[in-house]
Amino acid sequence: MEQISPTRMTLLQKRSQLQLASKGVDLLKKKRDALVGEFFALVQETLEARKSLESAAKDAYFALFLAKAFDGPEVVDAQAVGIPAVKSVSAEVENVWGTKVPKLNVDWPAGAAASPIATGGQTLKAQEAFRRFAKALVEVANTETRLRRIGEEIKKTTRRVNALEQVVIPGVLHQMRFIKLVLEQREREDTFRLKRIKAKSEKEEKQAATV
Amino acid sequence: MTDDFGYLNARVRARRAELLPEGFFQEGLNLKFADLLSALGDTPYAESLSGEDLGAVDQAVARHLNQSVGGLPGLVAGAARDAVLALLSRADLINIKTIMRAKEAGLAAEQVKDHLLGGTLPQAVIEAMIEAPDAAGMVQALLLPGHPLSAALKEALQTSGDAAQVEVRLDRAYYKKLRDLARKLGDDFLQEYLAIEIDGVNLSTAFKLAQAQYSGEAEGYFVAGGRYVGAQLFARLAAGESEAMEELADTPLASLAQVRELGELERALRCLLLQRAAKGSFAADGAGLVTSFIRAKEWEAARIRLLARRSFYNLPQAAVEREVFCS
Repeated sequence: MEQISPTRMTLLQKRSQLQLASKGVDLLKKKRDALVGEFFALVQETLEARKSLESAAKDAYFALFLAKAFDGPEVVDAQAVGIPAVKSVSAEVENVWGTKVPKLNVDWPAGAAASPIATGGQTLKAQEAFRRFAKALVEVANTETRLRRIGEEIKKTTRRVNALEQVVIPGVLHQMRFIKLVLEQREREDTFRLKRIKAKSEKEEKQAATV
Repeated sequence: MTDDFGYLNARVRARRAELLPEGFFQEGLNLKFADLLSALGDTPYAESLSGEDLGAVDQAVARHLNQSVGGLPGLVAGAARDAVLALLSRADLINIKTIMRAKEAGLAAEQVKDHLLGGTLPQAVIEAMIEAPDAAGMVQALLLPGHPLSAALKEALQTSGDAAQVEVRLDRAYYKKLRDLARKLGDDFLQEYLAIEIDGVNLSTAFKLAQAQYSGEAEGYFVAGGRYVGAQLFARLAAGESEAMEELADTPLASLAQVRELGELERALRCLLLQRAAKGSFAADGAGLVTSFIRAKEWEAARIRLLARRSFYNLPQAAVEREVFCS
């Protein structure tokens, strides 16, 4: 235990520390409850996003499979040259109960990626299917990152609550008990000392009167 | 070289014997990948097959197609050569569009070369187009060889506009030039076949536009030169009115009248064009036989790639069966 000076001032400081720690625990518990609520709401969204991603991946690869078979792998590769996958990508940071969560914003090219006239239907279908796949991938990245960050924050908040409840607050209470004991002891000693002085001075006064 | 369909047809007749029988595809549908490779080893594809993976099959198919079909223009001159070039020039169109897109995206010449197809344009012209600083430079390079499609491509490239619109104009110019070429050659079979092919392209484009819920002017995507699909029917289909397909019930495209979806249309169209091309195999003279042979080889290549992918990825037969056969 750290060395503390058992004074009334320290006791007042410790009392204020205890109030602050208890208030901190309340706030952290409220934060944790809010994060848990957010977490469970996100779980369903994340599962849906993952399911959409799997379905989009299946569709995209099957479309590519047919496109490469009918139009030829060389033709499909050639028709993909120079076609930008995205117009631009930017990232913003959202604040969820004090937790910084990154979010990707993608600007997708509008319309078909190639002329529909001489481009094979399967190739165009594969291009569209891969664009849907990429969109689903970004959605999964956003929801799963958000979920992971919130999960980590819940763990961190729980650790903080536990530390305050099980280490900091009991420690302060213990220190306060110790200071109180020392102060009471000092008070008893002072009382005893005063009584002795009083008795001694009364005895001296009595002797002086007798003489 | 001779300016005679007779010589070309004699060579094509000899090559037709190399077409794989229907039984190969029936059996191939049930084979594992290793067994399919072994079966291909007993066909003319064996000499092009060097490897045991899917890439090796794709390469073998491309090499074999290039050997059996790509060399046909070199056998003849004049009208016969122009007819064959027209049938094979789609690869040129794809190459030109690829080079254009690569320039737009600022890709290096080496990156472009890896993605180009065989085509009918001489290698020097391809190199010149790649090295050209812009679209105008590409036009100059294209004018030199006197390729049947050069002028049409020049027109499309010279018109300013965004890259996507230039591609659309290139595609339209390509089919216009094909139609003009067929007219010039005076070959009835080729004219009829290309007209049906253009009808097919228009139907397919209209379905693609409808699927993409295109709200602009569909007319800009219509290719003139078809026989049974007019601009009005095209516009209705592009607007999503798929019931309009029933207008084709009394035409040679009757087998498409009940089609309402793009995938279904492409399957039916593929089979219809194959049947139309196959009629050319009975033609004693003209471009019928070579048309039928080229389309049959392209279909054969697609089917082998499909079977190879099915067996390589171990997919169920049902996943590809309806794509491999024309009922």
